[in-house]
Amino acid sequence: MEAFTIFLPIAGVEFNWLILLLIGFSVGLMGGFFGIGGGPILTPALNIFGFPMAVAIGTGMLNVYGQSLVGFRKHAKLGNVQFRLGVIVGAAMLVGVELGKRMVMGLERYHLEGSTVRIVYLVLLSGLTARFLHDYRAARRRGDHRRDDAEIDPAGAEQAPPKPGIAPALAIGLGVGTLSGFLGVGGGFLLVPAFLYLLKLSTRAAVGTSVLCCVVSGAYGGIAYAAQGRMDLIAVLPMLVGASFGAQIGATAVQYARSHGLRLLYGIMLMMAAGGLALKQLDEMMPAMNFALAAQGMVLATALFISLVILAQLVRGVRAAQRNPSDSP
Amino acid sequence: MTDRIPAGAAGRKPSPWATALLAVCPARVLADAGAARAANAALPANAGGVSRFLADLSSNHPLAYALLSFLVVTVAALALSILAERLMKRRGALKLRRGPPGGRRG
Repeated sequence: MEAFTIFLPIAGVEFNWLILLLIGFSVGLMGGFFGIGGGPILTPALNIFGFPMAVAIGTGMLNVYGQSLVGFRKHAKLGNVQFRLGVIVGAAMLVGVELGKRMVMGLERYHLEGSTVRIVYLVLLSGLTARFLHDYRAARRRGDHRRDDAEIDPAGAEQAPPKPGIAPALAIGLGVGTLSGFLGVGGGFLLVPAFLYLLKLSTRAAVGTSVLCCVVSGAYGGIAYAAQGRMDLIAVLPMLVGASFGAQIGATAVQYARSHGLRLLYGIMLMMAAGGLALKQLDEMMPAMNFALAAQGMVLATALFISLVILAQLVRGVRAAQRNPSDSP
Repeated sequence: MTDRIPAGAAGRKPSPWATALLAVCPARVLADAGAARAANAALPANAGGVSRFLADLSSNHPLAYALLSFLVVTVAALALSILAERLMKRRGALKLRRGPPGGRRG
């Protein structure tokens, strides 16, 4: 395994680049599929595998930028992006990301950034998991088997997209941007529900527009953390290779996803990420128990499980479309 | 995995307070504001030239390091996405057949 080990100079750890490639592929797949940069999985994963928290955040953010760029090309081609809204929210996110970064750097002076960021992650991920699972159950009870809002009503494509006001868009951008800079995420996992529930966008428009916002926040965050010596470029590159292939597949697979199925999968992913972080926090509190190994196993198992489910959806969707071409997106 | 070693720790007897602190915290928690310099100082002997160059650039010219990283990631992401798209289209993974195979001729 020596041949696969690389030294990451800024993180100060040795790492197996095959694991980076696998993490990148899974995160890219989820990025393309859910419209997130993969931060909720990636930053905790890097921290769980030994990156100092601030370096994990910086590295996560630049990786989010790279793979969001890949996902953005795909979503823009498919017409899933609302550019006006994306630019407004993205501009507010710049301010927020800077605020979040300053908070992390302040906490780092007292060596509190690791535990604080993990606890904030745990609270957020648990809340979002509960929300998505509740939505899923409600949709199941209604017998809602839609593939997507836009697809159930062909006339929907003809209607003008909703034009949300500037003030709510700026507020969402500032709030999500601050958390984004603090947690090392693109912000998609918060933007998608915000766009869905507050701005009433369709699932596809919410996913596509959030990818544009992730490009903006990831780029700024990556540069800002790198300028503080908290970003490892060598770690980003293998992840980007995996992500570029994963994102292509994920963005295609989302066209075949049922709306409520998407929410269930998203909920499971967030729950597993929270579990991994809880184990990491326990490891910091009780190093003798070696919870870190269990946390690492949980991250890898989650990445593999979600990837397999998304790939299965894609294969099933393509087969169905081949059987009935009028059904294809 | 190796924990980050604070700069100057190698080859020097640590002070009692540092020993006590190390006993209760993982070493990486001690990474402070000069983390980039610490990482540079802690580079292993077999670290490659690229690692040394990047560690040095990050320590001494952080803004140049940030801009270089941004450019590398932008170019790599775009090139890789185009490559991935072409490869997958060539292999037919993303193509959907709009009709039955061979259903329309001439």
